[in-house]
Amino acid sequence: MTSQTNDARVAAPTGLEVGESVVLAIDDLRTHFRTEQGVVRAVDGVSLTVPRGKTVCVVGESGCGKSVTARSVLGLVDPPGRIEAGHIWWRPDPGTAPLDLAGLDPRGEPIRNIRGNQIGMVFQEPMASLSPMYTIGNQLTQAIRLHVNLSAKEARERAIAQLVRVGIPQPERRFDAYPFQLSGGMCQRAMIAIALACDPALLIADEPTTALDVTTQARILDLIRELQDETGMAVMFITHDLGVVAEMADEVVVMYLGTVVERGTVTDIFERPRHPYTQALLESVPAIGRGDRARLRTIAGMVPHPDDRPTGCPFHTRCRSAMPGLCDVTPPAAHDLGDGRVAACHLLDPDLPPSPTPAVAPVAIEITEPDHAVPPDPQIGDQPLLSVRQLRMHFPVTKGMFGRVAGHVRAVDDVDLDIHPGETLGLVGESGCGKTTLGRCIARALDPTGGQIHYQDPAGGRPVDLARLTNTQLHPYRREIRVIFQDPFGSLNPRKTLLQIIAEPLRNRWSGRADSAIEDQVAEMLRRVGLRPEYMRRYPHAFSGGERQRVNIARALITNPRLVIADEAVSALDVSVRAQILNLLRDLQDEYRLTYLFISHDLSVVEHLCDRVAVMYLGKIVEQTDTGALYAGPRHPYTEALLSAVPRPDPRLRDTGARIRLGDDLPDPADPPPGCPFHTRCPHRRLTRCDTEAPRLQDVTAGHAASCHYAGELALAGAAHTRGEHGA
Amino acid sequence: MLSFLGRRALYMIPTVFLISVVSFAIIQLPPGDYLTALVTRLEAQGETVDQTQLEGLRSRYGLGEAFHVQYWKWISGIVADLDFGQSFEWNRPVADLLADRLPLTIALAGATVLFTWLMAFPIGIYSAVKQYSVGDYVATTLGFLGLAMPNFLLALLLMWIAFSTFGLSVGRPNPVTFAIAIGVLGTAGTAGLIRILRANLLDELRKPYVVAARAQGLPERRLLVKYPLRVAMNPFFSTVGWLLPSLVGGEVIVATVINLNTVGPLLLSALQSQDMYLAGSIILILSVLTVIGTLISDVALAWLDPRVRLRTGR
Ligand code: SF4
Ligand code: SF4
Repeated sequence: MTSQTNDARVAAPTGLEVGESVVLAIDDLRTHFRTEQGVVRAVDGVSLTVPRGKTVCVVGESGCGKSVTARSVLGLVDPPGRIEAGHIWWRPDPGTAPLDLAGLDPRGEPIRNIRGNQIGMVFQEPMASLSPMYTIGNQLTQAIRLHVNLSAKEARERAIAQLVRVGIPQPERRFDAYPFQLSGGMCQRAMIAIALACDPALLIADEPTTALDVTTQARILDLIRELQDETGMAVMFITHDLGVVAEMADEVVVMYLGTVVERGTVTDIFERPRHPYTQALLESVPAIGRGDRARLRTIAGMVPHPDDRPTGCPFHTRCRSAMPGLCDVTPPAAHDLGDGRVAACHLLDPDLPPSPTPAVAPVAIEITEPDHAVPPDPQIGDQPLLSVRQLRMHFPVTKGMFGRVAGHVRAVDDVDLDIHPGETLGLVGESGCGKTTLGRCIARALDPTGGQIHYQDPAGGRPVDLARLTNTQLHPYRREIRVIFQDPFGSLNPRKTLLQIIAEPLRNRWSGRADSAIEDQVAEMLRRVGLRPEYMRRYPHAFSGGERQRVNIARALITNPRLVIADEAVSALDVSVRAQILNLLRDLQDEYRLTYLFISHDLSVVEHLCDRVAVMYLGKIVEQTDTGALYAGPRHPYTEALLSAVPRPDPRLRDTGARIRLGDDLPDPADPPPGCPFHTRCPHRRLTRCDTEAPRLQDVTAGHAASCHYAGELALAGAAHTRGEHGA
Repeated sequence: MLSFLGRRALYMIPTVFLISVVSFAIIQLPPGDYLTALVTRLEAQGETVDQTQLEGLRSRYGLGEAFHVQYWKWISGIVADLDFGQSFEWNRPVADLLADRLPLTIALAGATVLFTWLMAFPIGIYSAVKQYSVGDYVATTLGFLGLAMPNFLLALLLMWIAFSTFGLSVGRPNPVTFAIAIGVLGTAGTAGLIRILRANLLDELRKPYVVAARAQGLPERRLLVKYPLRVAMNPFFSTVGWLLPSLVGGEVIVATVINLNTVGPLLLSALQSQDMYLAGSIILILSVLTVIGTLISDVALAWLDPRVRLRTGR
């Protein structure tokens, strides 16, 4: 392949060197997809290096080409994708010459000997990345025996040792389990066991924790770090989450539209970002524990599709410091800023005459006065708009030949909750805790098993118990309580125009009304959510995720509701778009005096948006209070653990503070543990009461309720921290 | 797994019962009963009718009594002594007639399934793996032709080819006509199966676990056989269930054209001549065989796919 001798350094046009300390060096890689619509340049000139034993995080929004870059390394790009140009120098052993992986036949023997053997890979969806047809053990021993000559028995022993190594309890039993019998976290551990089965020199992790709960994510990240310390492997970590980057990275590569815009050490990138995109990205992330409820700074517009890449600098369509005549014509070169820092921006060109805009200022943002410093609505504290009492939603579990009911999953179990007019109540918890079910009960998409949902229209009228109303009686209330769904792609009917989608709730009741009136109303609504009214005759497929979520919001608000239930409404969105939507939700709340029930697993977003927060665990509310109080001083050990698991977008906090990791996965909700439901995982559990006596949700201090026997005495750590001077 | 099997077997009982009731209702559909028809016909031929014999038959089948009594006599005869009644047209016990015809039909069905599998399997895999290649286009086009071409046309065509090349007489059943029947009957099924296999395999090939397996360094061929193919195989087993009824339907015409002694033409003529016991029995037996086929394919699926096996047990 290569003719270089050991000490020869391979110098690339960008000045890239494959020294002995480098295990992987990507040099001007171009991976293109030739489709009928034209060539999509998914990766267009990416250069980066992975030093031996270090972690390099590749970060960027969806469509930036980070996954395709990772797959190119192993020749795993699906057709019609192809590496068109560039080199991928691979040097697992400093004593040998680097090998160009880009030159290997993706179906050939040489690359197969590297895959899984010298380079292991972990993927985003742990469950889907394992074949459902074979046991974990079968897939793991196969991975071992592909590269190591072992008998079946030896391979089994090694596989079990490997399961132990990745922290899978009862490895002998799990060896014979199928992937769908394990939780997502367990599957990801099994995937890691497979990827590391042959002790590779490099682990490529492609969004390995994105599909997991924050508590599971924290433990998987810990595991990858421990294994790295143990084996000295290098890690190439692909993610969109800046918090994860700050936790994991030694070096960071920021990508935008198939190019590297900036790379450098993690401290440099987070504290002294030089590229406008990096700066803007860092500012659009709500960081947990800052108690900061100001408007988020956003990046205007959205990531263009890679097949219509802007000419010149790929970022110029969204960049506030773009220089007309230069940025939209000439692509910026990668400027070496010393210390291994590289950024591609004309502002950093030393030959360029000094521009009126200072290069380091955070420029790519849209600053509006934080109008949310205003004290909370005086209405808050009055009569609650919605008050849920002893709400239960039990799903039967059937068993055996005749569908006998063997038990109940208590998805929502005796929940009390008040939502006051004008406030935003956050509802958080791990997946499976019942938060979505609770939201759907309140919206009466489900018929609750028991309890009351009192709704009081603040404009007058008698309070009603929504839980008891029949479908027809519910009709007027369906306009007052609306839901914004999570999935911006699945929730819009692709065969209807925006006009039909948004006007749907109106037509139900006002079928006799003139169409033009409805149209005006829809146009107005579209304008409100930041879309052009002309779009109303288009179909959803023409829109990006962020725009669809705006359509969803418009559909929810068209009936002028009182209460809006947002179920993971921003979870599927990219960082910069998420900030836009969060700001939009706030503006609309002020404008229409909306009340939100904001259901999310993302604690930083909840802190940013919500006035009060309720924490759910196994169908019960375990803690409920004001946002500030909850994040500063949680009173329930579960909340403490959740807060501690959230990765902070600040690398200096990496090894500070208490690290609480919850053991084991969520208990079976059909068979909740006796006593305190959390006692199986609680680090503060005491044998005297916790496993026998169930705690009740009661006030610890005024307005701060927690259901823990020792809520008053435990000293629990919150998320608040002294914020450094980084940022603007 | 055992409870799954047991449950499936138990579900069969009500299904078979319902089928038998429906089959019997079909027997009862034409006005009058078959004895009246027999008498009319015999008298028309100028023969006398033995009244005692008639009475014996009448009481044996409970004719003239309520539906459920007649049904009970019929079904208990079948269950206890395999007595399916008398064919009025052939003047022979239905059981004898079926014993002549059923083995050939079942052999034909089995051979057709095998033929379908052997043809569809390699072609389906090839067109999925080499999607948009010339071979894929050829296979897809032939598949469409196979689906669209009427069976009898294909049968005539093949018979004509066989006749002109081998000089075989059309009238007499022999191995060549049997092979032609298999080819004709299997073509549509093969084409359908190729399409299903191709689509399934293409879906599976895009799943993340395929990329993940590739990332472990698994060679392409082993990967294909071990992972996606095993999932894409599922339709092969479902065919066992639906094959029989569609086969008999298609077979009626084909077997008439080729002149094979199978159940299809027998059913057709029984229906035409209101030979009620014969028609009802054939329908009953075919339905029961279909139910058994479905059971077999369900069990095969459960055995093959741990998701079916382990999830339904709960
Ligand atoms: S090159 Fe121009 S458009 Fe691109 S990031 Fe720099 S200033 Fe912005
Ligand atoms: S009651 Fe006990 S087990 Fe439950 S949260 Fe409190 S300390 Fe932990």
